[in-house]
Amino acid sequence: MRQKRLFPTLIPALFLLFTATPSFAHKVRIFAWEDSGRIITESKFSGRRPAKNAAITVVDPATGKELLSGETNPEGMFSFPLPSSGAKELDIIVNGGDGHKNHWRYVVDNASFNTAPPVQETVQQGTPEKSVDGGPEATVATMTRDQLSQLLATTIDRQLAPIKRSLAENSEQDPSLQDILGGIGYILGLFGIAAFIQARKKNKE
Amino acid sequence: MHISEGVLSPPVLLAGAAVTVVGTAIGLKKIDYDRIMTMSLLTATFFVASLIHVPLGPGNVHLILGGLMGLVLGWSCFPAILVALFLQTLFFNYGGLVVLGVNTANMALPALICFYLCRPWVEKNGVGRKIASFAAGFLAILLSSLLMALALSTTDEGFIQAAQLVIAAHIPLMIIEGLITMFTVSFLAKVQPEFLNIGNS
Repeated sequence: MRQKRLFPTLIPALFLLFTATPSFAHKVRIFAWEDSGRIITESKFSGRRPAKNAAITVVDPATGKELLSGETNPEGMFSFPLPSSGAKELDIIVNGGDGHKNHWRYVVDNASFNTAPPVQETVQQGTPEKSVDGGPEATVATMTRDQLSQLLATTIDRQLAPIKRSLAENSEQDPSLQDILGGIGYILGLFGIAAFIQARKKNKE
Repeated sequence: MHISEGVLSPPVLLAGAAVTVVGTAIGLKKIDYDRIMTMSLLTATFFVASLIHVPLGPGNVHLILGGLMGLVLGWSCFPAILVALFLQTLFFNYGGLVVLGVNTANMALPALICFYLCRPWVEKNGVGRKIASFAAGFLAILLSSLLMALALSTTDEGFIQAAQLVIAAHIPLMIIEGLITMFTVSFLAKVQPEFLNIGNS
């Protein structure tokens, strides 16, 4: 009887549940990717609204030293050149100012920075040894090969940037329907246990 | 409304946790086990409501329904909100385990204040009930924003600056929650008065 009468009250809860499936809420997220030698970060609230004028700090997690800081633009973007400190990892922290904070661990991958000196050096050191007897013609060839590889690297970089961006973006997902239903299940279960324990106590009395 | 991990200083975290522990202990004692279904439904609603975001104002806010929780549950809103926030932390990554105490206190204390301020009018019939339930929805968010600003002011931002930022972001939500609480309460009072634990009208 009681359960039957409780049913109408379930309707608002179910309504909320099903209107909520696209699931947005309040939390700030940040993700970063690199594009032609710069690290680009994008910060959003989880309703996909850009986090404007949010403070960004870049920290070297190995030393805990702050490398640089800045503010996001109206689109929630902030970009900076790769710091010259030689840090292997960067901790990029966003602070929305209203109690929301998050960070992104960026692993510095030297190979992907075609402007970074180590890559060019290895190419130039490696090629002339092979073509020592080739004379002047060979140096022309290596030059063009260098230029070509650099050109290729920039082009690939540029074309991969959107993919890197969406990979980074998707690495943190909004709550799914499973999460929501699971949570509701836990709540009902917890209160069920509470009611069960109480009922047993009453029976003993 | 969820403060993230690593924003607040340890004294604030401890104070929030202490308030939550006391509130939850009293709340658990005061649970009316005949109405545990009501409590679990409201907890589930609170848990899901945070996924509905209100695309208004400078920030990005979501429903909280603290006023409704307070009006219906009284002291028991503490354990209910604690459970819902804990699961939100686990499943959605909102807030964090360390700041759970502060976040619970931020939302449950205003709900409790609304219970004491507005509940007497909700139990009476007529326009007073509507005004009181609107006020409960509105006040709960306003007080939560103030508490949040107070917590944030212990970090680098001053209280006034933090309060302006947080309250400005939540003004649309105050009105929306006021309206939702008003309609829900007057609907429940008509259809399901025992849900609100008030005499039949």
